Amino acid sequence: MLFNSLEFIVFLTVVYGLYLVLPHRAQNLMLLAASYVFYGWWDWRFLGLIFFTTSLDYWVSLKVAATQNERAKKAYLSISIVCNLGLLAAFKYFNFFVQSFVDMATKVGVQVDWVPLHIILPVGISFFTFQSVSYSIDVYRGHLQPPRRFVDFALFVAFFPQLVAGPIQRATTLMPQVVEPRKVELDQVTRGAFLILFGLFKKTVIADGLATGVNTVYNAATGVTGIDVVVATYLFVIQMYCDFSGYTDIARGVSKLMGFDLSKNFMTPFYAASPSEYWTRWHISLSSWVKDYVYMPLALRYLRKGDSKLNEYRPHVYAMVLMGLWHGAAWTYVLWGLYHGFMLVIWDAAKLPKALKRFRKRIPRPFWIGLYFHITAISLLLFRASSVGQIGHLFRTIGRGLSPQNLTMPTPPTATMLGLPVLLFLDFLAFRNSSDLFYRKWPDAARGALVAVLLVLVLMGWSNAPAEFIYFQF
Amino acid sequence: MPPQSSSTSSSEAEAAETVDAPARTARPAWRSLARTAAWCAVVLVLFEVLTAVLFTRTRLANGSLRKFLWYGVSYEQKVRELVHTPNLPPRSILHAGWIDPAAYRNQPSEPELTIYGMSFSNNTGEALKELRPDMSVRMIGGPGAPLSHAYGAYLVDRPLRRTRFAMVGVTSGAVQEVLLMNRGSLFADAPFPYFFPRFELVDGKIVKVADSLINTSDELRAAIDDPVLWGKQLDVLAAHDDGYRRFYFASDWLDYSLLGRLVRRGLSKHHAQAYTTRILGPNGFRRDHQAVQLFRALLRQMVSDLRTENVQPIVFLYALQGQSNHLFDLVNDILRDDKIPYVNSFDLCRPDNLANYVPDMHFIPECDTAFAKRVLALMNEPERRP
Repeated sequence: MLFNSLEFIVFLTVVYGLYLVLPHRAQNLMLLAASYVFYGWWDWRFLGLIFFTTSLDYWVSLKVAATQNERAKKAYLSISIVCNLGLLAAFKYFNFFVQSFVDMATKVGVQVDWVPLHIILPVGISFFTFQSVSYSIDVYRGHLQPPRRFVDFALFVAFFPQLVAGPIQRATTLMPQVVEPRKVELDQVTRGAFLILFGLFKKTVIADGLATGVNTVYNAATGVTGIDVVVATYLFVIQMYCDFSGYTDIARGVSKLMGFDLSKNFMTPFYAASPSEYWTRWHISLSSWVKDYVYMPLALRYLRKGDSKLNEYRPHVYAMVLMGLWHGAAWTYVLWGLYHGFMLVIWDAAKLPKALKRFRKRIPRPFWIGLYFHITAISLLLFRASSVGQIGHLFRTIGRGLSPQNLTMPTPPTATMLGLPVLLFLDFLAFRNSSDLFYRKWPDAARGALVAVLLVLVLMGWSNAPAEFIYFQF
Repeated sequence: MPPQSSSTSSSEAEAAETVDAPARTARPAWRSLARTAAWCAVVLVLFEVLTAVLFTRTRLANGSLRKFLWYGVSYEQKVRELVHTPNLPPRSILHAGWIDPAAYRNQPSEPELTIYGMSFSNNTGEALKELRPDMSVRMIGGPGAPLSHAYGAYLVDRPLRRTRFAMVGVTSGAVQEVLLMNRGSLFADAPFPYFFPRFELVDGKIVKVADSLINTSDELRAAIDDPVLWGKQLDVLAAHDDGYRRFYFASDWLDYSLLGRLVRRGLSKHHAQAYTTRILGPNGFRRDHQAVQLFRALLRQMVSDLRTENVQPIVFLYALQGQSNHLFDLVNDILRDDKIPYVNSFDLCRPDNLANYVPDMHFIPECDTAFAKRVLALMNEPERRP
């Protein structure tokens, strides 16, 4: 059930209608049932999987909270981590690792007969697994107590607005909102409604509109020109941002209608001037998750080993490779992670020489923003390519020339062409105001006009060929 | 990972959001919301008025933006506008694709090759004529026409000509259209005024279950402004055209509203996509679908009918840009079992090579020439010589 589908409109109307009339406990029960319906819409068979991980983590958290024995706590936590990551590995990475092993064996002359298993990937498995694992770790660390009611915990795991593509919520943020009665206030509702509208604009007008041209170039085996690849890559940067942040906006908007506050996932990411800043603006919920649960423990561990530059930089690269693999089982994602890891290392290393430091300070920020935008674009080329071979092919194609006359990719639809300046303008305002609530300071007439413009654009973009959200596959 | 990222953690970002909130609470929320909604309504009305004036009374009336905003006009209204356009050229889309024996009589009556299909097969025919100017080619088709149109046209055309070869052109994009009677039922953006008959597979045999009441552009001219005649035609479509939905097809007040047109277009696009997805999935055509079964049966029947009248059939499979070889996979067994000579564009000009297509999604002339050469080669094979 896509957020931009008629089914979801009907679903949300029914759920919200019930939500408004039910008391708190019944609200949670109804939301849990609705979340399972929402998830089962794709494939009901995986409801068993989500129910199993939920039950397991709840049981583990109760056990961890009840015992004072440190070793027992660790053992229970291990059960949760091994089961969650084991399921993730089985569904997502089994074929990849075995196939990689087979390929390697073949290269050294050992013939291994193996046919990849036909494993269906449960939608959003990486999102709810990470959310669940972080809960277990937080309970183990003593950051929170498990909720008394199983329904509350199950809702925390399966809450439908963010179930399949995040933002990944920390239990410390979302659980209290589940457990405590919520208030539906007009201010929240209007902010939620605007987020939904803006998210729909990003998704249907921009992302879906750009998808056709980008897919034409990236899916073509031959016949594309260098300028096609470059333009398609820049457009993919915008498509990806609008697709994912559009989903997040709708998820946050729907949650706000019900009095929930989900964390932000994006903060004008293309105004980042460095890698470390980029990761505080792009997919914030995942980068902060990786920082807290992977990078920090790794960094501490390596620091204990010795105060060398290598020990300082290694966690950057390892964490980013893991982040790459989180997206999917493919070498392109590993390359993407390595690339970002090395960018973090390079930027850090460049801080050291004093001459370079002075040089960096003298150059105005827009230059660094522009530079890092292009670095991001290259990373998204690695991300979008279907194989390492295609990455090489794409770079070779770019190397053969960039004459604008050779542009053959289809022009985006009219709605998208009209919507792009609106998006860039609103994104710029959000950056200038350091908040995406900039419009709230506007007079009523200007806000009314903004809503009308977005509404017309969404209706125009509604006819763009609808596509699944890119992050559903992760 | 950046250790400094804690400075803009998500929770802090949320905190930044709540900082803005008190500024708004100073104003009465309901009043502010009502005023914003009222302004929104005013701007929407302004859009309606502006588009109505600008796109009818100024030079923008012929611009691409006007065209875009008019896509959501009902199919009926689009056809009405087309019919009433003064000085339409003879090659206008209004006259194309009709299954009309009178029009077919203008073509060579004893051709070497007759082509049934659509624009792709017509382009192959034109390339054939260039390669072999001495060869007589009869071309029967309609823009984007599906196989049911080709078979309907063939049944009408059969007594009008004597031909040695017949090429049946089918595209990978039109398999789902064999259950329609008009392309506008799924693709309402551009009006394809011609109608075609509806066939069904009954006990393993092809049976014509419905004919259009309107079969020429002149009949359309007469019917489009006659509510009784047009109403009867819509009744035929409602009963037999699987993709037909009155909301997208028939004219109503939404034609006169910008927002109404946008809503109609969005819904009709989703309708078309949902319809197509039921038939063509990521792994190919769904063989259990009625349209797919009818398509296969129509192909078999047409080839069998051609052979019965001693005409040598050639099937041409056209893969549209970006599509896989699904069309060949769908009919491969028929081609093999019935020993039907065929050309598959996929083998000559791959659909994943952008350079093989012109911007309007047709093949480049070099591909058409290659197709024509392959058709000629098939015609010249020893077993097919007279």
